[in-house]
Amino acid sequence: MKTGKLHCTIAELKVSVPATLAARCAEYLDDWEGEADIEILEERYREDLYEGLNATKEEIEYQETGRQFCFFLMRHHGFYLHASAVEYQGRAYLFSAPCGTGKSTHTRLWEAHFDGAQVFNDDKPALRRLDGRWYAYGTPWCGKDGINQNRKVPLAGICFLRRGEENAIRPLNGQEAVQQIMTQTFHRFKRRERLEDMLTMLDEIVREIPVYELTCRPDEAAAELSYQTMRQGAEERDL
Amino acid sequence: MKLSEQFVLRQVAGEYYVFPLGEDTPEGIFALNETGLLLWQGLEAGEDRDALVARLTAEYAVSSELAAADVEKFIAKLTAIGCLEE
Repeated sequence: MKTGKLHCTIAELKVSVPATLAARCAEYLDDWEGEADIEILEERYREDLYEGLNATKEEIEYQETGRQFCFFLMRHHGFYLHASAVEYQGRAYLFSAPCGTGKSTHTRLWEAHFDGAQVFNDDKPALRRLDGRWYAYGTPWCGKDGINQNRKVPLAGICFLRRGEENAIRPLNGQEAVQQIMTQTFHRFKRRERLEDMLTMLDEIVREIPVYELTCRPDEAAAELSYQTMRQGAEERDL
Repeated sequence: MKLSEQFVLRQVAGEYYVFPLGEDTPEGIFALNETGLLLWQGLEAGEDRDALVARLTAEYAVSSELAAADVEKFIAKLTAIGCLEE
């Protein structure tokens, strides 16, 4: 079944999406003209990946449109990170971890603890480097809670979460940062050029953006610790 | 010995890593230290075991025996993950 197309602007890119995504993309609708930077096509859905998984049509659509967007984003000096993104005082802080670790729980603690802190994406924020600066963007791929705000926020830091008995934070060295980031974004490529594109961005982001590991309990003291440490790191680098 | 084309050597933030390519290669990125890099470059140039040992003894103050052991270890590691084909 063919459906119409919607024009959206996502992460400052002209994106054409199937009309079935209208509700999810409401915040991103835009009336640009000309050629799309990214075209998301139903005929590219890989339904074979979901055989036997009991996935609903909506779940497949979410995964497959997200996969296409994230893949083509890499042609435009950007990549996604599997993370919960919170904006506070004009900076974006990203908390990343495997599913079920408590990223959303942690960013909800920021919202509860800091007046004006707001989660703007809870699954796949986009990161792009424009004019020498990294920005985090909201995208329509925002996880099951549907926190989905179309924003562009200067990136201040990335933090990988682990659950623990005590709250502790430390900066990751280059090797650790490389390994961690690659587990939470696209990292399997068929073509060498695509891997090279990703590695160019990985090189820049690891050199330019501080990356941490937070071991934490689900309490406000953990939010205070991550905020104080990451804000200071951002200020030191003029982010 | 031939390096598989399913692995890519790349410098990221000042360090060298080998990244797997393709959907069927084993997961995992590994960092190369100075010796590893030297040996990788030798393998890329199609060198055999003796040439690799010579590379190490030319660069470092090590005996051929020690260098040969390092070369074997490196080759075994790469072969185990499918990085090196006979």
